[in-house]
This record gives sequence, C-alpha cells and structure tokens, in this order.
Amino acid sequence: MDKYIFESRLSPGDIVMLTAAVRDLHRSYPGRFQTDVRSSCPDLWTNNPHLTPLDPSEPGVRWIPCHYPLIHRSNQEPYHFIHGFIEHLNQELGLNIRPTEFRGDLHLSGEERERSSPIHQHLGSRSPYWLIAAGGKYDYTLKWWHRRRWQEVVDQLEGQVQFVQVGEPGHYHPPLRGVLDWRGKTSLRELILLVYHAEGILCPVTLLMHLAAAVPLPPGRSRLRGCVVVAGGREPAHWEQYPGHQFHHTIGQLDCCATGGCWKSRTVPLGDGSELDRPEALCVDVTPFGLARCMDMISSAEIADSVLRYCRSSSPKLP
Amino acid sequence: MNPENLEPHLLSPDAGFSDPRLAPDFCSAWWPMCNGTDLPALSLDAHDQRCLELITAYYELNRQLALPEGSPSRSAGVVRARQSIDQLEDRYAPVGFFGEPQFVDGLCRNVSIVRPGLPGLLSAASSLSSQFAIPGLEELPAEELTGPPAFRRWSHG
Repeated sequence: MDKYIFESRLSPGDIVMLTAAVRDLHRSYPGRFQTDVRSSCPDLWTNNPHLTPLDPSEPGVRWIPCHYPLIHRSNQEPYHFIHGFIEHLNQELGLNIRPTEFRGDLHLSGEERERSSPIHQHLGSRSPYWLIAAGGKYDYTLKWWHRRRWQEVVDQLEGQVQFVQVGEPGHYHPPLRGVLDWRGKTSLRELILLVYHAEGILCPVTLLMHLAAAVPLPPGRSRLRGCVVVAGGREPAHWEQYPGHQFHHTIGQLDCCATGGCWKSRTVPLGDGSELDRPEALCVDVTPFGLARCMDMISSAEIADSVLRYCRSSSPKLP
Repeated sequence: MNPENLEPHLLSPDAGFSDPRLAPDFCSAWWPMCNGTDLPALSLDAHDQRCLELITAYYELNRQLALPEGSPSRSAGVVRARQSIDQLEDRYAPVGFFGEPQFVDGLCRNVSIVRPGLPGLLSAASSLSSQFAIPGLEELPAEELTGPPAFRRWSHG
C-alpha cells in the first residue's frame, strides 16, 4: 500500500480544497493508499476518516508538497478550485483522481453535531442567524468591500436577519453595528461549528465561502446552506463559485476583468514590504475612495436582496 | 483612477495636521492611549502617523464629552467628533486602518489599532497566503524558470 504525507502551508480556504482532493483520492482508489497530512490548519482535518498517522522517516512514506498550478489556467479553462490539488496530485503521482463532490470534506464528530450553537445559547433560542465576514487578511486587500457597504447591508436587513460578525484578530474586520460581535472569539474548529448551525454566510472570497459548502448540513436540513459572496472581478467566477451560492462578480463588465479574473492583489500599497505592493500586483481601476472599481460596482442593495432571497423562500408560502 | 495617481495625502494625515500635545491648551486627561501606550511624539512611520491622527480625533471626542451635560455646544460637538472619526476610518479603509475604542467613565481611554503584519519569513510552521494566478506562466519554456531569480513583469492578460 502506498503511503503519502501531503503537505501544504497555504491559507485555510486552500486547505479546505485539499480535503476534497484527499477524499477523492480515496474514492477513486479505494484501499490503495494510506494518507496523512501536514498543514497549516489541523482543525480542518479533525475526524477526517482518510488520515492515518504516518511517520515521514518510515521507509516507503513519500512526502508530497501540494500545489494547484491549475490556477494559472483558471481564466481559460473550465475548472473549479476543487480541481486544483486533484490535478496536481494526478500529475505528481500518475493517477486519475476525479472530483466526486462539489465541496470540501470536513467532518464533525457526533458530540460536535449535538452540541448547541453558542449563538443559540446567547440568543436563548434556535433563531436562524447568518455569519458575516466584513473584511479579511491584509495580504489581498483587493478582496475587501468597503466597511460602509457591509454596514448598509446589515442596516437594510435589520429585523429580518440576525448577523453574527466573525473574523480573526489581526486581520481587517472593522466592527459593525447591529450584529452579534463574535470576532476573535472562536478557534477555527469553533468557527466550523458556527457555520454548521448557520442559516447562511455573507462574505468576500474567503475561507467562510469554502466552509459554507464544505461543512455538513444539520439533520433535517435538505437545502444547501445559503452563501452570498461579494466577489468583484479578481477571480473567475467558475473557479470559486459553489452550487447554491450567490456569487456577485463583474467578470466581463470592466476592461480590467474583461475576459477573466485579474488576479491582482491590492488596491493601494500597504507599505508592509510585501511583493504584493509591486505595481503589477495592484488594481488598475481604483475609485477615489480606494475601492476597486469591480467591488464598488456591487451595491449593498443587491447584496441585501440576495440574502433576502434565501430568507423569503424559507417562509411559508402565502395562500 | 490608477493607483499610482492616488495622492499620498489620501493615506496619510493632511499637511496641516499637528500633534495636539504640542498645543498650549493640551489636556492630558483627555488623551487616549494607543494599544495601551502613549504614542511617540514624532514618527515618520505612516502607520504611526495614522494612529496619531485617530487618537487626536478621539481626543477631540473626549474634549466634547467632557463638556457639561446639557451644554449647548456639547451634543453638536460630539456628533462632529464622531463624524470625524468615521471619515478618518473611511479614508484609511483601503489600507485596513481602524480603531476600536475602549470607554471608561464616559471617556475614551484607549484605542486598539491593528497593524498589518510584515510579511514573515517562511517557516515550516507558518501559513502562507493563497497562491495566485500568473496568466501565461505555464507557456514559458521550463529553462526560463531555472537559474538565478529574475524580475519578470506579467501582463495579467
């Protein structure tokens, strides 16, 4: 039996995609491999049935750094991010892994599924809530929508949607009014459990978007978890969008993303010494408020409407 | 607008800005801390300058809040000061600058401000950022991707 340790130190959203590749490896080749991982996010692998503890010094154990070079063809070829690691493994290992599900592969224990949501405990009821990530990491600021727009969405949905704001400390997550502030209060595993109980997710292209699809649905819920993504023109929509998600993009609507995602990094230099400050990594169409034009084109009203579509259809039908 | 055309003043204090601690009527009781410490008086660092500007805006808010309740100018002054803080954070939103104030006894005593981390040296334990696409990379001959590092300008075509 071949033994592999897959390594990736990429961001959590990327690692969610690696979980899919490992699942699909085992489904495509049942019983043929033993696999283990070394990643930046152990919480994403908790309870994963496809992992076997492997010692890299053990003879026959092969160490595989995982990448997704398919991203360089993402504007030309009809692939989703979920194909990225799979294609790389196919090339590296001479395999023919095929994607089997349109989602990452996260696993909750029985105890985690039964544990009540801290949000429900806080609210004192099982009222539905949406998670909102109104920002992100400092490296790819092009993904950010203006903080005022997020607030407008919350304001427009006041009394209709209970938002819970989440975000990692040290990242850009300016506080919103009228939300439950859960920023910095969760581990990654706890965030996964918040997603498990969430009615929906509102976010830019980020980890939460991947979690919205990858985290299993609670028992009795047949409809996909709602997810509204404020995306703009950075990534090709077909590369990022999951079934059932409302992915607001501007591909084909601006010269800078006329035929695909621009894959730029920032609107303005941060002066942090990163290569992402270099001119070729900067957005070429920035509004006077420092927002990428593609993000500026997305209105708070259309995002609020997208969220409401999920909520309206949850209500009983009128006679 | 091309980012190269963004005026530097967009992301740093106005030329007319001055440190209120240098003013003769400065009142230290209203001066909030920044991340638990007092800001240095002089710094050329852009982040420190933004911090000073934001702390100054909260100082002004404290100054208004310290006026007697019911004073005719107090409520308008508080609204003005809050608007200034909001405008500052709007202005610096593209670089992800904002502050979270802590109020004690009705006055802002500290403002927590996140500083974007400098890019870390790669280590086995670190988490790298997402990969990003370089259109056309795969069309380059393999021999061009070996040897000493070279600066390349991508078309992002």
